[in-house]
Amino acid sequence: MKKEIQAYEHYTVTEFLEDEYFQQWVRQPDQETDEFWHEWLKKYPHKLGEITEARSLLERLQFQTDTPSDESRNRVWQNIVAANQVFDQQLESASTGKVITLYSFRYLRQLAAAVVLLVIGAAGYLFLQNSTQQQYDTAFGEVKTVVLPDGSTVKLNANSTLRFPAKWTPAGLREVWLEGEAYFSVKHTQNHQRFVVHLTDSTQVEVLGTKFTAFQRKRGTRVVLASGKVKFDIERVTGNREVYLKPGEMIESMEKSSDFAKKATDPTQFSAWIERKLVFHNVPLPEVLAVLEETYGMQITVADSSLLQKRVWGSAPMEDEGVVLKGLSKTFGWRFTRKGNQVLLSGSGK
Amino acid sequence: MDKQELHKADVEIENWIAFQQGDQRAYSRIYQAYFTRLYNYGNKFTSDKSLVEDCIQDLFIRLWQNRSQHVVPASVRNYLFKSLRNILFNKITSRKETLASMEEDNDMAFQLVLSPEMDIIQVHDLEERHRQLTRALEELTQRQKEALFLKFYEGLSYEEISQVISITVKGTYKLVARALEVLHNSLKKIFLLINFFLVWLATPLIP
Repeated sequence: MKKEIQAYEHYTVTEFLEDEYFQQWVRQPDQETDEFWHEWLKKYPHKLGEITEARSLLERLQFQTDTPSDESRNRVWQNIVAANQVFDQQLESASTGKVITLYSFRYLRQLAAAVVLLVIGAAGYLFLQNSTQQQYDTAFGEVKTVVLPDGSTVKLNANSTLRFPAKWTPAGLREVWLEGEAYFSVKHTQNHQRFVVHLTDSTQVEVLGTKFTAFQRKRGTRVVLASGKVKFDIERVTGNREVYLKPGEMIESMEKSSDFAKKATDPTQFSAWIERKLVFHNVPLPEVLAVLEETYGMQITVADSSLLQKRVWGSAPMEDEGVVLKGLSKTFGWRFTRKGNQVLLSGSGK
Repeated sequence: MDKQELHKADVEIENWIAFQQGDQRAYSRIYQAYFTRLYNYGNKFTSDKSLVEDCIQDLFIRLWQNRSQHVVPASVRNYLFKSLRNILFNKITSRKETLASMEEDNDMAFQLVLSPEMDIIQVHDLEERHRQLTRALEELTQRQKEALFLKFYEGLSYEEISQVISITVKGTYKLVARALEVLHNSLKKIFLLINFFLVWLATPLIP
């Protein structure tokens, strides 16, 4: 990298700027570079102007840093460790499984011993396992990925909470509690462990291994199935009800309709937020506004009730909370005024 | 690279080999050493912080799960930077393909901002230079900005940059050279102004 002292004799400012040895002197000086360049300047003092000019630019190239919080550093690490643990366990059980089929008779005695150990181990595991709960929350506008103890993943939409026991028993029920909205990718375990999402006190989703979106907010409850099969349980005074969903089907009970209704749908519509997009396909305005309120914590008031009849088509990146409102005002010629999280939406006026 | 740096690189490679053999502490050391830098780099491509976190998470999970297949990289830093960059680009493009966005998407745009003047000397000249440089920085292409970041923030060599962003060394050199030229030109005007000002001041003194 370093050149002969004469090599720099006819260098222009630009050439100095591009030279790595010169850059090194300005940015990470050490004794060696310092000596070299001082020596050089003694020999070519008329080049002081060029050197100063080049230095002054390079010195100024200080860029802003995005610093992560400790919370995010720890959360990401916890997710990584959880996912890796599951992976390692599966790897282990896969390899021990092979040994047993190959040598099952010759090693029967060892196998019996191993089983005893395993039972003791499992008992100890159950004993040690305490009822501590793990909880994940998302802020407004935020989407998080949570890895569950069994390796299943959950994408948690904005303004949502997911709770589950810190440890799951290998044979027992896999249970989580959701407030808000989440997309589940549930792993099917070899022993067909049931996976239950508790939504309200009286509703829950039960699966073995599948992909689906669950929604539970003030506005209502909804489950949309992308693949696999789910059972939706509704507990009623008048008797419990079970509804089975096939891929592309959803069940919901929103605002006015108090009862649950099953219908066919396009599941991707309900999981666009995973890609951090808000997507509306022919959605009534009140629902669009409800989504904005849920996602960003806005409180939206509509001054002109005739607006509520409109239906909306469109999509927008989730990061920018103003985009949808701006899009609406552009498309329909509406105005919106905003103070903090209070938004007033009004028609064009004339 | 001086001796101290060589030693550091050796220790890092040793640590990497330990990680590949399943040493969780070695793995954790890699995470602790690079999380902040990867986070900073990733956040230059998108304003979505949780997306960057997701990508770093993916990167480390993949590292662990494929640890036996990895070759020992020549430089751990460059390897991690390049991997994060690929994961991030894939996620951002797949996101774009699935849905047409309503407004122009700013993702993949490399956001490079000068940090505020270190010395808070309120000299007009300094402020003016800072402004000029900021303006010039905005004129650069995404790639030029990224190359500048890798060169002057991360201190990578031309060769290392070429590996991270997958172009030739010659191309990298040109990229940085052109960027520096734009920045230099923006300051040149000021240099000229100052010189002119000095000459103007000096003239009345000459009889």
